[in-house]
Amino acid sequence: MKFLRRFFARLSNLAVGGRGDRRLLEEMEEHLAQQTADNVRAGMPAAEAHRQAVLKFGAVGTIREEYHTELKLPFIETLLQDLRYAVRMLSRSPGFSFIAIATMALGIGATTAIYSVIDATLLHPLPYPNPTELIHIQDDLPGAGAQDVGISIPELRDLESSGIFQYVAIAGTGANVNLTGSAQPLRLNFKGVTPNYFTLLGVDAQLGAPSIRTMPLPASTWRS
Amino acid sequence: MKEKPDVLQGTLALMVLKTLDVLGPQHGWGIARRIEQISGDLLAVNQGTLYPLLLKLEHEGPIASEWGASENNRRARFYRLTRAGRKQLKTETGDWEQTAAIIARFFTVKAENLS
Repeated sequence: MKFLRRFFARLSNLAVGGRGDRRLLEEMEEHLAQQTADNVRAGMPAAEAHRQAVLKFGAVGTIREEYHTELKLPFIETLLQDLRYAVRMLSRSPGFSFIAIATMALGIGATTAIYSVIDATLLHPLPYPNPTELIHIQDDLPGAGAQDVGISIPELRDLESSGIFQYVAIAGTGANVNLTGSAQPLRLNFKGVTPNYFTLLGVDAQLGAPSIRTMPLPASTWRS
Repeated sequence: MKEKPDVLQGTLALMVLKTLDVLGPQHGWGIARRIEQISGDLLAVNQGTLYPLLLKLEHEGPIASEWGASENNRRARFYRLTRAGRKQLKTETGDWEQTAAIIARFFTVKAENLS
């Protein structure tokens, strides 16, 4: 609590800026005047009284420095000074700065790109037997400005009969549903897919065997 | 010159608080003179070190300060104890007395008393 109070007081001094030790200088002056007067009362000559007062006060430089350290946050202050210095030096030779910054940006960008590719392909390939042979097809309607509109059954038939693909499967967007009826309701993720989905990916169900329920639709539902 | 013990900073703060508690609002020189009168030459070497400490105490909350007129009618910064300062003085006085009592007991104990 005390630490926080002190921190915020110093931070606000730093933000307000200005020469904060004017108050110290004024206080010092008053202090020395009082001490000198006190010394004179004790019987010293004026010059000696002032000298003794200054001696008693101590090293002014050190005290001012200590005061300044307490007044603001020296760490942040030097950090800001360094930043200002850096900006000044960079703006002094803009050509050199531009080339240096561009070189670093390109270097960092290229390295990041290369390592992203390596990470995706070599370190984390898709967990299927032949991930490189999988192709994702998406239907867009550029004329209407619509993306990923889904695929129609005739299009599916066309793709299957094109001879380009070994299998063609459709996967819907999926959603979250609640499974109730048992003692404990369950939250499930589901995705509607065509029956050959697992065959296409070359994987088995993680639990149990895929039991496939097909629901033959009358041709009239998709022809219309 | 003799090395100042580390404890000085802490005790100096406590002396400042106690001085303000006893005398009421004081300017820097008044506090310094009062501490000097009571503590002998503890602060006689460097009265100036009081000012960074006063600023620190003001930042932490136990004291507050404002400008006022000194005895000879000049502008001086007056320091006073705040409510938080009174509370801190009370706890620190208790702590200090306890520590002093324990140390005193260690100094007075004799070997034959420990058996």
